[in-house]
Amino acid sequence: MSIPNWLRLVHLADSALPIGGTAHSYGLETLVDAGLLVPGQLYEFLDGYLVEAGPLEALCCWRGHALGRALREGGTATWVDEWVALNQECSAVKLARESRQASLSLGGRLLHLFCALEENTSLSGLLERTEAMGGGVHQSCVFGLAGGWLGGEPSMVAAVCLRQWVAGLVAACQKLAPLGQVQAAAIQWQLYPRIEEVALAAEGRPAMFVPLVEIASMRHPALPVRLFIS
Amino acid sequence: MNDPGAVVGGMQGALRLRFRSGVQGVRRVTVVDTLVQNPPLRVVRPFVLPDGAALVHLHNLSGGILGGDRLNMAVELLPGARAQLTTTGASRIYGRRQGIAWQENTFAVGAGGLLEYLPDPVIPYAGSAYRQRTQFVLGPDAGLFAWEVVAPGREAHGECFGYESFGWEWEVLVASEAALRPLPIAVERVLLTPARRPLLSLARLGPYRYMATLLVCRVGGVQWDRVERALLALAEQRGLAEGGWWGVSTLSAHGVVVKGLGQNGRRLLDGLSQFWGLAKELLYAEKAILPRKIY
Repeated sequence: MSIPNWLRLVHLADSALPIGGTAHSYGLETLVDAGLLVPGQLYEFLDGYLVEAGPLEALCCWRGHALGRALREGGTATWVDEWVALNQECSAVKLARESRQASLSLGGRLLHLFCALEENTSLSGLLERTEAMGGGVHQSCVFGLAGGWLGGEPSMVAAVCLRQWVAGLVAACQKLAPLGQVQAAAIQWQLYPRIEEVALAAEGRPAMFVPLVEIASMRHPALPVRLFIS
Repeated sequence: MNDPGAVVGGMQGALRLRFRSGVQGVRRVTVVDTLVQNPPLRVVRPFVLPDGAALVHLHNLSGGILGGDRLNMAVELLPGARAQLTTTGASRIYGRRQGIAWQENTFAVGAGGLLEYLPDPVIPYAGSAYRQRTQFVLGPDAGLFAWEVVAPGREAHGECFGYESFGWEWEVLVASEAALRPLPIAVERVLLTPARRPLLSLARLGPYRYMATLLVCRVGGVQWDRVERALLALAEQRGLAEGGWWGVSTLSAHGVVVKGLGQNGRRLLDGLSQFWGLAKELLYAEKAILPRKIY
């Protein structure tokens, strides 16, 4: 991967990227509101959450990466079908509506932005065909696709994707609870070995068991006051 | 979830049922054909419910699922058929002695059919290792109510998450003639290994021990946001009244899922019955008929 492309990938993973990433807590707001999640438990919580939910995000990223690389190399006959199927499967696994829609919303915006930045006819064709087939695209799938297109090594792309995901969760917690900058940075810092482990282990049909967070996300629409969309 | 491989001395049970719509006098009723039943799986006879659906009790003659068992159940509802399937008691997963126990269930619901799959809770005993895979395939205007409650173990014996492993996988697919392949609308894959990954972690069950899931689907023009709101209001009431933690969400299409966590399996089961009842009124304008266990 060239240095400019590496910088482009890091650019896409920046929390300041204008795709709306800071508007979602993925159920954490409900957990904090219910008193189930406090800053002292955040590291343990995120570590467990990464182990359970991270493999799905990583796998979507890996599969998106393979399609992105294939597209760069001219694509295959079944390319669009595989892309649509990947995102449909991802939607089916994300049972909580708000979290699913957050992932779709960010994925859609990321794909639009990436296509606009790259100005490539293959990518614009992909965008048109994806929109024509409906159903939307998920953030981790699009991030993987971009990483594959840019020529990144798949495990590295998946690790960067997971880091961005964790950073978003930590940032949400900073808004929801008394969590200092240094404490927040330290939590992320300590999670990097786990991110590597999860990024490298992505394969097959990953299991995921996060019922408390899923239910928190499902209950989020019922909160009387909300900082986040999800 | 990987297939555990060859059977080592366990039972190879199979049950294959077909439900079809028929007429009894002036009533439309559903008739059951038992195509295959190999022990320990067995059905005795169906009962006709007031709405014409066929109620079938699923028996396991072993009294539970033993290590090494491989059980396979395939159920087909032909167009217009209605079936309610339940068990005669909790599904006990006994300790592992001859390998991992494995159960595979497939349910195909034809156009306009309705399946209610309402088994008793699953109780994985200490030392057990179990995998379960369930697939629902729904045709046009097909309906589904399916629930599952998983206990932490034999609590009366002081067991709580003493099992070696418990994995389940379920998926709901919608088949249509227009699409080349069925559309997945809900998928869950779980593998619990309590000794390796503590279940009472905040990322998993938090302070709860029992878990419940209810799937509510009907292929076609249902206003699912309205169903979600109504069930979510019930979730709030249940939570406030009993201290459980319930959530409701529309699926990616054609359905909603209700999830609940609690400290008491019976209360979760009561909760599921209420959600099922409300959902059936909303979707079919009919009352849910609780499965009778004794006739």
